[in-house]
Amino acid sequence: MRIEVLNLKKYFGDTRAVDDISFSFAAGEVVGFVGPNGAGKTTTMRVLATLEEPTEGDALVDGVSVVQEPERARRLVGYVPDALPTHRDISVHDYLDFFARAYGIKGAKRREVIESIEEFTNLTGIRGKMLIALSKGMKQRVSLARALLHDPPVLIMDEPAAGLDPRARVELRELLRELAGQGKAILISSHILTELAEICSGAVIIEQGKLRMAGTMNQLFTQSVPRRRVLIRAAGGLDEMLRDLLQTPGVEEAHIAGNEIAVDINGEEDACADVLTALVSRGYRIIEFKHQRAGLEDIFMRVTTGEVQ
Amino acid sequence: MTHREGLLARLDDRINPIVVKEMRQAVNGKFVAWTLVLLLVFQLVALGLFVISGGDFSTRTTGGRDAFLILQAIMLGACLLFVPAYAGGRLAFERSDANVDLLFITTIKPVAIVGGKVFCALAITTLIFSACMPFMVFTYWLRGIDLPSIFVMMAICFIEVAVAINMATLIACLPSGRVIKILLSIVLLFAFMVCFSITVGMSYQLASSGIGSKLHKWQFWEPALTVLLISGVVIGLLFSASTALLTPISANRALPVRVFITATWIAGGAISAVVCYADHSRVPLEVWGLLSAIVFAAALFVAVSEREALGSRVALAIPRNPFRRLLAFFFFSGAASGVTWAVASSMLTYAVFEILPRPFSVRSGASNGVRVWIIGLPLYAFCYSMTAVWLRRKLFSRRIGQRHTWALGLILLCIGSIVPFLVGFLAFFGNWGKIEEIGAWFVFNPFALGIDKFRTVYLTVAFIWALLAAAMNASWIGNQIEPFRAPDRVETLSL
Repeated sequence: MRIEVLNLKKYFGDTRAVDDISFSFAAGEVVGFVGPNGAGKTTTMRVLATLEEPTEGDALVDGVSVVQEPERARRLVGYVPDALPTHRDISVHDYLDFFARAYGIKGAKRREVIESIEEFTNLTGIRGKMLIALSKGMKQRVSLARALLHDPPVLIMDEPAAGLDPRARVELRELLRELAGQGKAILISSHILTELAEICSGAVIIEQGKLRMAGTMNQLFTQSVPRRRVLIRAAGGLDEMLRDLLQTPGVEEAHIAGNEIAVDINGEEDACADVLTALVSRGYRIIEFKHQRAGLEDIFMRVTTGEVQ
Repeated sequence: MTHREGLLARLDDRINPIVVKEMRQAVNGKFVAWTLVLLLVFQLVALGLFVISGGDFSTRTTGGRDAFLILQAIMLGACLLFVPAYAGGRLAFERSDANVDLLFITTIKPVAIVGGKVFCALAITTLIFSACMPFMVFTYWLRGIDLPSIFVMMAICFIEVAVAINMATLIACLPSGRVIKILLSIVLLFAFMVCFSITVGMSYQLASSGIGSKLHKWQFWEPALTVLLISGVVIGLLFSASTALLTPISANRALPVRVFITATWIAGGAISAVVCYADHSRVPLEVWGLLSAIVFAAALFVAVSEREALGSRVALAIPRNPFRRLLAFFFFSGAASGVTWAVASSMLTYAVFEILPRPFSVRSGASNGVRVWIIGLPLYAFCYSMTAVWLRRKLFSRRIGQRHTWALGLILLCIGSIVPFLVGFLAFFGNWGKIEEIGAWFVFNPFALGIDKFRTVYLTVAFIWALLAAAMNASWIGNQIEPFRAPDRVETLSL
């Protein structure tokens, strides 16, 4: 199972909402879809969900084209939009029952599927409530439950954590981890990058409809931040060590931060090991030498320009 | 599970999901219940007031008829106003980008979606009719109307509401913005008002003459069956068009619509020919020809808005046999296919209309009026739609998408119908009285074909214009005909 976005373009009049982007990801991966507002995330996701036809290009879900065979692609994709269901005249259970019927799930199997999904998304206790009466977190669960009814191998989630309280966000994260564990490929967009970094195995960054960067988290960190930052804690002599560090080959920048020295080293892990060896050989007593990873936020700020269309 | 439970479960599985959802929402919601209650209150109050203020019913012979017409007007007005708005409004909302129901990403088929929506709207209509029926039947006791008249007129109203529901559904399915849908809904509302007035007027005539005494006569059943058949065809046409609009654009979605129209066109022509032969009258063929001309004229505006490039999904379905490929060209999705199909069908309609009655020795020749409409309507539609194609391609390619070509065509039609006449009127005439003299200014107005004096001028101008429009778009048509062939084996495998 592989999801491939191929040279996708979507224009609305003169506005290029999505401008020739390509990326791919596989089953079991959780991919963060990141970009500023108006970057084209929702449009791309709507194309993947067969709700929008691209101006050019295509997207393949397990080899099935969302343009040429949207009916087949729909069986493979579950879509959680950024807006939530707010009907005042239908209950949670009836709503899920309708979508299960719409996906062609019949008889006893339909009852079993709905019950297991309600249990999985913790909706069992509120199945009789009208949708309008639910909290945002609960509506989000209903939306997720609806997308899972036909057991799709691919989940497309547009801002699922927006507006949720901390507890609901943690619970959503747990659900996503479990779904990824089940082998589902998940594409998730969010502005809460710290949370995305925790659950995502990869990320796609777009801006103004153009792809800025895509890859696994490690690839992104390496690509966007060629230098490595390490934090060094030593027993005494910080000033003297700082002077020495600044003269050490491979060290680009260093400064004292509290009781530690933050050092930017140009190179891979070998370069870090060389710096540590040099310090120890000069007689410094190192208590802690740790790699400080750049966050998704850092990467995002580095690769995007902040311009809007 | 008992046998009965198993049977119920199987039945439950067979019910259209849309029907289940719509019915649940109708029961849980307030709109349907309140509409029904209000309608019943209106009926009760209207009937009460009529009875109280009606004077002595023992001497009044038309009391029941008058009361029935009032109640019928209330019921029909309410149904034409609320039920299409309810059905169309809900579907349009579900089609909108802002909606999260996402019905259109499930695997449910478009035909089930449209069928479910229409079925539910008809169920609500049946509910309203059932609630109103006791009041309307009660009018029988007030004298002046017979029971068959009551039931026949209610049946006519039901058919009218069914057509209205399908029209509203079609507008809801259009892939256009809210503004266009609202504008079209307003136009539809005016059409409903006209239909409402005609129905009420016709009901007065029918109630006055009494239907009960005519039920066993062909004089009643001939027009009744004709109306029933035409209504059925119109509903079928609207239904298939709505379904096509919900089908993914990459699919061969024009095929079922064109097959349906062609099949009903052939069947309608055959039935008309038989009646024409039996009655020695040309009227059935005139009705068939006129309705066909209207449908094919409208089809031209639709066709020019279809996609011009052949999608690989449609291409894969093109037959390899040359004859079948030629036939497929007329019926498959595509702008040039649609235009050629509509033009060919219009020409065949005229040919059949002219040739078929000759061996039947029918009474009198066709009235020149009908002939002119059968030729003129598709001819003008071709001129306007193809001019719209040319303008879009050459001047507005960045501003107007191909799927909106129909709108440009309709704008041109409005301009062509009104502007020359206004200019002529303002510049030369100074009053509205000399309709024969100003007829030449209607030369671009297809609705002026009824003016006898200028018919030849109109048709000549339209014919020359059509040749020009065809020549200007020859490359556009050619570029679509040329690639209409099945992809070779290698391409098929790569897809």
